[in-house]
Amino acid sequence: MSTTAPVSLPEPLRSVVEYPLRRGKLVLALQGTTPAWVEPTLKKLGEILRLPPNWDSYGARPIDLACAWAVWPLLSAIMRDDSPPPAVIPMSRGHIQLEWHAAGIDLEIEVIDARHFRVSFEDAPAGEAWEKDIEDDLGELIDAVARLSLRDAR
Amino acid sequence: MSTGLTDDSTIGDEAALWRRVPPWHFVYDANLGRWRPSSAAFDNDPDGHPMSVVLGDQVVSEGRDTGDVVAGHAGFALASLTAGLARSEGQGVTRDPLPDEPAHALVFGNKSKSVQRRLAKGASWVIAPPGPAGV
Repeated sequence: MSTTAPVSLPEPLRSVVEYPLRRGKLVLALQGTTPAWVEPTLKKLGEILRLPPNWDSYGARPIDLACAWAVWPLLSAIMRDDSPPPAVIPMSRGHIQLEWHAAGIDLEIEVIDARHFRVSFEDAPAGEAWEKDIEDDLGELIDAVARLSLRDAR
Repeated sequence: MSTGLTDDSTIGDEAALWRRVPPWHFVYDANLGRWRPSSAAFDNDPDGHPMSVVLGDQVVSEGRDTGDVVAGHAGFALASLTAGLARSEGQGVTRDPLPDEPAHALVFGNKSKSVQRRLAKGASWVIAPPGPAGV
């Protein structure tokens, strides 16, 4: 008599973002336990992608889909599992800005495209502030987010 | 400042400059312990045109109020910064009346991220954000 090994079913998918296409729709879903920042960040990205022209009443452009796509690999590279979620802010030029204002740190990252980020960092307790354009080398962003995450967790 | 515009000295440093803030620009600043506008709310226009504001005193003197400035923009808040704060960040302020908004003015000058953030932190709400952000 044969026995059947227990089969573990894959965890269900959780639909987080639905983005309408000309035909059909794009659906982003999560599976399993993800870091706490992932789901709210994806949801917000999905929301701001739906903004119409002039969403700020001053002539803002719709959000550039390429910028939204660029956010994910950036965050995957710089975030830790315990990092606080960023505020996901649409910009009038169609870019996206990620912001953290906690633990004495102000960090703002404007995503211009997949390789070009305009960053402002201010750590008041440490007396450190800088503003620069960053391409490719994300080391300073990884350090900034790590500092923010560690201090925020205390 | 290469806009060809000139700072208008008849607009005093204490003059209130009002700017609409869409709901997507409300951020909670745990360092300040309050909701404030994002720095992104204080930028020049996408085409490079200087940032629009309205002169609060003029709106009031014309018998209008804050609600008129956000009319038709559900969920928007209204932030106020002083002309003096803008000037302290290297900006100029000039009148730019429009047919549908005689109190319209411009805040012109280069706005780096840190300048935008100081404007955002220095602004106050004259119409606070609705909901949790308004608490």
